[in-house]
Amino acid sequence: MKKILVVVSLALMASSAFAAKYGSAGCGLGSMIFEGDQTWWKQVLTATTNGTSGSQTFGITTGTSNCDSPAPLKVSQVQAYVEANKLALANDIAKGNGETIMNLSKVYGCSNTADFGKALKSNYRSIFSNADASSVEITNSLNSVASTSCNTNI
Amino acid sequence: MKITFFLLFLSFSAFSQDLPSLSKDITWQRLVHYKPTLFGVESEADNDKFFLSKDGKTHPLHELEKTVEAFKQNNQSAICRFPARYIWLSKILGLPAQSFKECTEFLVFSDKLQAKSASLIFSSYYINTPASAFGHTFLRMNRHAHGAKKEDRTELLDYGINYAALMDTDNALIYAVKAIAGMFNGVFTSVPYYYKVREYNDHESRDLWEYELNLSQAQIDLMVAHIWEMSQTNFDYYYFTENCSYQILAMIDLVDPKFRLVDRIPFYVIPADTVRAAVEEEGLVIEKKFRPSALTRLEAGTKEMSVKELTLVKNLAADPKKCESSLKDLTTSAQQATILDSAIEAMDFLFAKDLLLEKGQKRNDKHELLMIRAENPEISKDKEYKVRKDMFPDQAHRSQRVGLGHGYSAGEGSYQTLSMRFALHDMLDPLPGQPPFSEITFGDVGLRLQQQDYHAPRKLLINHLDIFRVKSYQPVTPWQQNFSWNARIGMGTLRDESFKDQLGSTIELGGGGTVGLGQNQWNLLTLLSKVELTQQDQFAHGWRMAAGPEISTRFVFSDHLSLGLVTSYKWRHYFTDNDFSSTAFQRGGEFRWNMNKTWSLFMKTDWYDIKSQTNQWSELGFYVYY
Repeated sequence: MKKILVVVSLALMASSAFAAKYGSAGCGLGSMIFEGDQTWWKQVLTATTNGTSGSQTFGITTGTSNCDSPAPLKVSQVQAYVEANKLALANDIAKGNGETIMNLSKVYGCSNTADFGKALKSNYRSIFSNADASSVEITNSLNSVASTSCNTNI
Repeated sequence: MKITFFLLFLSFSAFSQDLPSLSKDITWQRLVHYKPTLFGVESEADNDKFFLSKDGKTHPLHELEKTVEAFKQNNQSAICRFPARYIWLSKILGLPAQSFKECTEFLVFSDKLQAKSASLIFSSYYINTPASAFGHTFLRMNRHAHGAKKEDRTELLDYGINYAALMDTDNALIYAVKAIAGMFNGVFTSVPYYYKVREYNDHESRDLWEYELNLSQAQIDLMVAHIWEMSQTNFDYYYFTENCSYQILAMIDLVDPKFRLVDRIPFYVIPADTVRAAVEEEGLVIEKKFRPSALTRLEAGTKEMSVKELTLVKNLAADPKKCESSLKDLTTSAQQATILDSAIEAMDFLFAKDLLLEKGQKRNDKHELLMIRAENPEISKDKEYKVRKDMFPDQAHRSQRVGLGHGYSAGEGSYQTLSMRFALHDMLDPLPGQPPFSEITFGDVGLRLQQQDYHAPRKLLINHLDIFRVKSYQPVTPWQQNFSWNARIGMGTLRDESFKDQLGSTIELGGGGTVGLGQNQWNLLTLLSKVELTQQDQFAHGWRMAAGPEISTRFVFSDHLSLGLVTSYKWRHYFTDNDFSSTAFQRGGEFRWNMNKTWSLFMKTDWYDIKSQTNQWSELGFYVYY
């Protein structure tokens, strides 16, 4: 329990660092897909010419991505994860189960994924307090739910 | 002086390992991406940083000598730049095993991936851009060992390894030229798999097909090291040959000298061919998985619903606040949860862009809907999406096709045909693994050997030479009302008496709608308005315009039998005066017996009424997919 509190407070620091580094646009899916505003002919061409997902829109250079935290499966990853998976995560939390919850639970190192999912569900209103909740706010709420409802087997 | 001596000694001892023959080793050739050319070999890598020797691009031996020399000197900068070369060479030359502890960046990279296994991922066609039937392939480096249980997987957090062109122009013409001439830089990138899932599955509604590979940890380590090497360089990106799929296959080939994935594909690569190449490599693919798109999930969830339930889902997706009360008609909270879950999926699919960009009223509606769902105590269960085994893309027929036929025309006697198609699929070809409502043809040539009369020699004619033919006949469903369209650019023999056997160049466009016929989801009825413009010097002003309606049907009776029927009427204009009196009325049908994935029999017949004169052609023949 102590450990998780340390981890979560680290995460809070990390998430505010994230916000400062990436600005309000963040590195969310929307900003990536529509960055550079793909014109129709480009879409058709990319589609017809072997469907490369143009790295202009989705390319993140190895190891240097701004949306990519350097270490894997760390709590500092949560915000990047929340930003990109916002829609799917909100759906899964409202339903109390789903792949985004399972993966999130792994990031926190929870051994009680099903209970964690239920706890997230009952906290839906506080996690997604309004339609425009930012990934920083969501991440902070997730961290606090994790700090009370997540068993880490340590 | 001493150093020179030392180097001499080193190079001598290096040669003692028989470097000339080692430089011809398949793994060395693959590590540096050498390809045979007219004058020897050349590496496909197009960046000096990828070579230690100045002439390394064309001299495998020189590159190997320099590499061995650097490694024997324990040159850390070279080892960190080329960890895969080191892993491979150290075993052969007996160099000490490396933990790469001085290679900070490489370690950060391999630590990020934590790869224990790899999957080949294929994203199928983009429903709104049917021409993307070619799909896309990339690798996923998995944190789980292959065959791991579901709860031990964190696939969303795994990394996708993607090879793509860096596009650097907004000009369509420059873009097309650069794409074909290989003037874009192709680079390797790594991105968390969740981006790919959100992009393909949710935003573009494309299904993802995952092929888990049977590779050892040593092979995975070599692959990760080579991905790192590759991410330091760039390649000229050729859209049809050295494209995403080609490089991904080469990456798999590297880790086992026995693998021949690249050799299994034609010189131009279609992503669907890559998954077939992987499956054909014996023992390589151990598990196939399917990750359904937003639309697939929505349709699967609502397929069995009553009209009343479907209406409820639609209303909730359109205005959750207003329709919440009607949920009370359902007795149990479980029933309500099922309806709500489908409404969430419907909303995500119908308003994908607004929701993603977090703008407009829809995001507030979605928030309302999710709050209603969160109030409902039911926990959704994990859903398994069953998909027919033969619907996986590796099960598709091959994209190249040749045909031979024998025909008879009422006015002209018998004739023989030979046809050749480079890619990819038409509406009557075997359906498994292919886009079921589209035709995508690139490069289709048909020749006809025509009997003129009994005494004259036979005449060889070009029946058609189509550069490009596309049809998208997506039927209207409760969830999507897509516009149907077709396009064709090519040449063909004119059917008219006055321009008989002349070639005309045609651009054709059509637009309309498609409905499904009956219970069989593959049966279609399509109504289009078509316009075509034909160039032929013998026309009064060199051009002819034609327009009119076309009605067509496609019936799929079984996995092996399909029938296409078409009727069209066109008014033609030769740009002379206001004369639209010339008309063409066509009826035709084609029956296809797809015996297996390689052989098909066809039987087709066409009637053309041109200026009240009827011509009829009937033809019987076979196709071979290869």
